Amino acid sequence: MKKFDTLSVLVFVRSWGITTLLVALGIFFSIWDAPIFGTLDNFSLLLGSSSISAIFAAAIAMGAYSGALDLSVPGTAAVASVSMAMVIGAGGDPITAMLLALVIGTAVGLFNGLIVQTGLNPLAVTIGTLSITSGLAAILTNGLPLYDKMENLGWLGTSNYFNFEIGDFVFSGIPSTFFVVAVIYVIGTIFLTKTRGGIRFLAAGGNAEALRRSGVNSNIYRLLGFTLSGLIAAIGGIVTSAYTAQATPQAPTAVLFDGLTAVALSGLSLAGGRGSLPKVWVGAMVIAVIGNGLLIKNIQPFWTISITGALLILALAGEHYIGKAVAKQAVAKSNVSAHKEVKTAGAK
Amino acid sequence: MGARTFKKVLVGVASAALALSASVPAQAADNPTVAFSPMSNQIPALIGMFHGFQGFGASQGLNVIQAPDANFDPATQKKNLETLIKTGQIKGWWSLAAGAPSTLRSTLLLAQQRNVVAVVNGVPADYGFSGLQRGITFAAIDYATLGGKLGEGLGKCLVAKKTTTGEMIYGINSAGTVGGKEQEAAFRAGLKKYAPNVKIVATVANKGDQAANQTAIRTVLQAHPKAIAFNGFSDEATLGGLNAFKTAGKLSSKTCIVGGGGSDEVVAAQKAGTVWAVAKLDFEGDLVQTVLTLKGMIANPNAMGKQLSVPVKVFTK
Amino acid sequence: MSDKNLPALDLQGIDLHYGYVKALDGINFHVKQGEAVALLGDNGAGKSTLLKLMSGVHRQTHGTIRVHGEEVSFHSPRDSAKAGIEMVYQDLALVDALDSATNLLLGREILRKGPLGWLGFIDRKRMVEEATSETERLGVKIANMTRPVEMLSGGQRQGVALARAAVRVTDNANGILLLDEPTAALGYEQKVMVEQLIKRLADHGLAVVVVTHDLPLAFNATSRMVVLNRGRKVCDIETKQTTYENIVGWITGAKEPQKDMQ
Repeated sequence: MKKFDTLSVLVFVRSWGITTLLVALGIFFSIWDAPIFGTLDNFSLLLGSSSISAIFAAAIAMGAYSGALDLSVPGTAAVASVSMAMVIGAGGDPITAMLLALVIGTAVGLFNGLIVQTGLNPLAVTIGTLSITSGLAAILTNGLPLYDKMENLGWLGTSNYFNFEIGDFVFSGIPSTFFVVAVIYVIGTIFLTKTRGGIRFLAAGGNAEALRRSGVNSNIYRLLGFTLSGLIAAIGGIVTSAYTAQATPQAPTAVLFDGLTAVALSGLSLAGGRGSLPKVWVGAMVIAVIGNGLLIKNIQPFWTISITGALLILALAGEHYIGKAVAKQAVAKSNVSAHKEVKTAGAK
Repeated sequence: MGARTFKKVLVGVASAALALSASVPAQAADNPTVAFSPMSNQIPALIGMFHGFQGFGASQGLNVIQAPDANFDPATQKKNLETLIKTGQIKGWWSLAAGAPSTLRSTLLLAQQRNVVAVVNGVPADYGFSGLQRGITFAAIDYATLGGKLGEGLGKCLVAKKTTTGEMIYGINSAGTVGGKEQEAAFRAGLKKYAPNVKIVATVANKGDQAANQTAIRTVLQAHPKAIAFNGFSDEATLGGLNAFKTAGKLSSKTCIVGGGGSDEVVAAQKAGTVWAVAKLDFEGDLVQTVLTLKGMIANPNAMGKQLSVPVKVFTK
Repeated sequence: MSDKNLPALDLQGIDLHYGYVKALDGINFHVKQGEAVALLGDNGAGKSTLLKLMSGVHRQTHGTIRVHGEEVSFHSPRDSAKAGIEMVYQDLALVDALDSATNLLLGREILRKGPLGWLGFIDRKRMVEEATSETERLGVKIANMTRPVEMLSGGQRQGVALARAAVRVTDNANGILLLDEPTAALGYEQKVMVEQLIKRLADHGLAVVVVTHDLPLAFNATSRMVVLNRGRKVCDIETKQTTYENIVGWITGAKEPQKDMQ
């Protein structure tokens, strides 16, 4: 009997739905946009154009997993990248400058986390931090973008690696920015799924009380969530500056939209505790594929935004419905009859 | 839903899309496509620009599309242009850089590789080039003239109304405005020629939207009720100041207001007499030379590009 | 006094006043190792308050608490946990998205041997083995250790929460388990499963206090019943020596309090 039972199907959709969607979109656009879309070169282009939003999506995701929605991410990126650009412009070593940016990002994250521990509303705190960091970035640069000597970061921002030619076939290579994405996602996934710290991190977001009653200090993990969010935001700022060869003090608040969309598409509960980082990347790719696919067909830009928004609502509704259906199905299946136990366990 | 049903749905959707794409009006296969990529697709003046570019471009055999909104973000602008280039969508483009132009340097190099031409704002040095480039034309904005004409305009107004020693509110650009400081310096120099003793009692930076500017200048007028002059470098600053003077009851025959930007509303105010002088970038006039330049470069992508200058148009009493 | 007769938990003369309101008035309560006691009463009678006092959330105004004969003073739930008391709250405190094995071993995760272990890598296989053996020892059947607990039935989730508390408490063989409405919102079959579990835990030697509205649970799973009414104890009687009607009478106040209740 090859019939799939409802529970397995629902669990499959929940786990693999977003990936299936990406594959379906890929097939769709390959046919519709032939011969441009379905090429190795276009795939490499997609890896590159999704990089920055994927990095910021990871920042938001790491915060959300531990129960902290960090809206200050764009501001952290701005102030970190601006500081890096100031060092580079003054003739400093780029690697040191990047380390400085990472330290600043971590510091902002810690700042957020510590203030939230005093009991203030996290959303309000991170919005406040967004204002502070944006203002700081503007003050540091007098409102002007910094671009002196920034083209030295081209190896990170605008290069392609592993390009090759075989006869007539030319592959333009993998964009440098994608390697950063890969590192972040691989390390993040290993942390969340295979380490004790990662498990407790997720538990702190899912049910902090449960973690506390297990004797673990859940506050440390909440703090870690904000810190990681700030650190990855700084990475996002560094990569953006490398890509554009300039550091702008204007905080790119648009990354919040793309980042939150990718995170929501991945089925992550914005309330925390549940989540798969690879699916966040898939979510970022879905957004990039839609943008790329529609652009090739010359569809008006606002269609892209509308479609992405509609998809987001569908995904949220779908996740909600599927979650309920899964629970219902699973309960129906897992009810072991207590009467059977009476017989085997020995009578009273 | 089993796997088979899923496949059926997929095939259905794909067929629908193929049918849909067939019904989309095909552009004349011969007309080259060029893109318009301003720093923001939302600015009304630039929306008008796009339509003008599209219309005149079509008459010259160019199919003009708009790049997805850069939203003032250099990373987005760069990504969109490079996608258009790499997917072979465009043969050329006209861009107004979001942020510092240097971001687009690598994009221009990529374009040269692919024989895609471009008209970009600024001068070669802005993009890290030491001289003219093949396939790229630079269109510089003469900020000095723009600012200077406004300064002279205000000075002449003060002379005409015999208020050269009166109080003025000095409006400046918001921090980070490209060419802002150049305009301001030229403005002060032009003003000095005619009214060196005017008293600047307050300096107000452009807040980006008219209402905010109006509130700010209204507040300043409370503190300095005797002010009789104001200047703006953009539409929202000029109109904000104009309305502020009006609502404060300070708009009289002795008031002198000059403004940049050059939207229809501001030009109309100048015609009505409430604004003495308007200095604007004549992109429309420039449009003709931009389109013709693009057309010529597409026909010959290896030819050396030029350095153009966007003319300044002045409306004054 | 032999150790066997020493109560695991012994409350004497407990008063809990909030200003003029007497939430608890002169309560004497005890539970022995290996015994399951039901704590009954109508809403507002004080049973949850008494339970929370035992778990360290509230502090008494007067009276003493003794754990295994030693007088203790709880300033927080952590103090009571240190004294060997574990409470299972109504909300179960499970992390929905994580699986049963992880929930059971939360805070006691098993690390890999060697350098990976120093970095904090967990040994999933051993964790599942350990969780399975722990729950089997208690007679709790969990269908799938690696499925997120949100996919379990209410009774199974209750099983995981109880098993987790029981395991923590049996590390120290003289543990005391406090349960707050363990069968609320459960179906019949699941309630029977919880009854079995409570009996098994008591047989293992744990001292169990069960606050509940569920009379069948009390009669089936506990050996002694204590009823509170308006903050006072009105009966303390062995289960097999009383009836439904009597208990209901004590709960509602229709029946006179037992003699010598002060």
